[in-house]
Order: sequence, then structure tokens, then C-alpha cells
Amino acid sequence: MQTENDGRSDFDFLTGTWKVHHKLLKGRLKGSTEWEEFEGTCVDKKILNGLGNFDEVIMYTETGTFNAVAMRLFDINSKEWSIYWAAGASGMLDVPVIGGFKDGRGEFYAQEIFEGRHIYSRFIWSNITAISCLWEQAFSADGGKTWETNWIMEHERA
Amino acid sequence: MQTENDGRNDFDFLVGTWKMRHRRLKERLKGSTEWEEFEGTAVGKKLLKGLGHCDEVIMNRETGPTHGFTLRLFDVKSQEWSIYWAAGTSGMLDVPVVGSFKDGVGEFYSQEVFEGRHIFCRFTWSKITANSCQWEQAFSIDGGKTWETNWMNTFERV
Repeated sequence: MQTENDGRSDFDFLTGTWKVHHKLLKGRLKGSTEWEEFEGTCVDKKILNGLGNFDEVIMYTETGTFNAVAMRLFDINSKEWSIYWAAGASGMLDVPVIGGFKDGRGEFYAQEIFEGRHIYSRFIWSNITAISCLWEQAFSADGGKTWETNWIMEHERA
Repeated sequence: MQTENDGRNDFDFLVGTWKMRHRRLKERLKGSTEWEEFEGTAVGKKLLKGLGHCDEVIMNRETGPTHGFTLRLFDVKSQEWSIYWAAGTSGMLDVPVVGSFKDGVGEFYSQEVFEGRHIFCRFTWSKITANSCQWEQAFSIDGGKTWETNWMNTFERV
């Protein structure tokens, strides 16, 4: 096993159990400014001898309790992380967002379909300390010129 | 939560800790008849309130331990399972094989690229008892007319 940090250790900060405060924009790409806030948990563990990690996520929203999983895989050739998210009943993983960390901030991108049209999706991991971190999701409908953040998760170690 | 068996319970048998005996064809689609044999362990658990499963797999091959991770997601509309395999050697996620169980045998299919050409891939789960089961992988280069089994794995509950 290689131990140098070619990027494969960049999600080590996330291992463990987290309390998560969610802020979810109520509408996406519609100029909405209303946010729903709720609490949740995230339990992350390493898989594949460190080349990946896996989250079990629980969200306690007004309309009920929702479960999701995230799987992150490190490509040893491209040195990129692919982040897959699955939430429920479709049987399919979403298209992965792909990227890496630079100067303590991770940016991950995908092209995906939202309400019938192709958009760009972006995850950002930032503000990483030993006991906290921040995740954000944003969509762009103009080829990356402008981004609308539609989901924020503030993580605090449990 | 629905409890009827529309297929979502069909991988329940795999929850728990297993000892695996692998037979893996040394070369694929080359007429090889030489098999590598090795042992391993798998630990399976449910996810997503039963709509998903994951396995952590360790295989003790001649070349050293190899790690793998399986994610299985159930589509409640099509009542199909999609099975994703992440290999610890590359950090890459394979195209999922998709299918379901009938009369105690599960068959799951994909089209994927092998050495630059498109092939069919099939997983088969069979011989399922309370304490044992069998998994096989086969490839076809003639559109499913003939299949070469290249990996067999017998599970025994620990």
C-alpha cells in the first residue's frame, strides 16, 4: 500500500460520526430564497483499504426521516475522487461528481440532468477542522458562469 | 415501509459474515482452463431501510490481500436490483449489473467494455440456503448466445 498523500488521504478528516445541520433551498434554479432547515447524522468509514469511504446518512425533515448513502472512490491513475450519492428508491446511483482537494478545499463537478435539461453540479468541502466541516451543493444552468447553492450541510463531530 | 416481497427482500439472505472460496479463471475470453483458487471474507449489511445492501470483501490472493466493495440498490418501480462493484486495486466503479431473482436464482446483466470491446456480463446467485450460497460471473462476446464463466465463489456463513 502506498502511503504518500497523492490525494487518497484527503477524505480522512470525514471518518467517524457527525451531527449535521442541513439547509436545503426549497426550489432549485427558480430564484427561490426560502430554505428548509433540519438535523441529521452522518457516519463515515473507510473502505477498500483506504481507497474509498462510505457514508450512511439520516435526515430528520418535517415530512419524515430519510436515508441516503454516499460512496467516494479514489482513482489511483487520475488521482481524482468520484463521489456517488444514492437516496432511496430509484435503485440507481447518481452520476458521480469528480474532483479533488487543493489548499484544504475540495471541489467536485458533474454534468447531470435536472428537470429535463443538462446542468452542472458542484460539491464543495471546506472549513475543515478536527471537529467540523462544511459541505455545499450548487447547480449552474449557464455552463459554470453562475452557481446557485441549493444545499448546505454543517458537520460537527458527535 | 412496504413489507410485501416485490423483490426488495431478495438479498436478505446475504446479510452477515461469510467465508468465501473463490475460483477465478486466470484469463478471460481466451479459452483458458486454468483457475486460481483463494479464500476471502465478506460482511454484508442492509442500507436505505432495506432498499440497499453493501458488502465489504477481502480476498486473500497469491499476490496479497485485495479489497472490494459491493453496493446493491433496489428500484421500487422496475423491481430490479442494480449491483455496483468497486475494486480496491483501481478505485474505479464498474457499470452495474441489473436484474432480479426468479425461483431462487438471481440473474443480473450488463454491457461493459473488456479489453477495448463491448461484451455482456452476467452475475448469477444460486444454491441459496440459510448457511451457504453461490455467486458466479460470466462474460459473453456473442450477444448472450454463449457464456464463459470466469469467476465462481462459494459462500459459507461464519
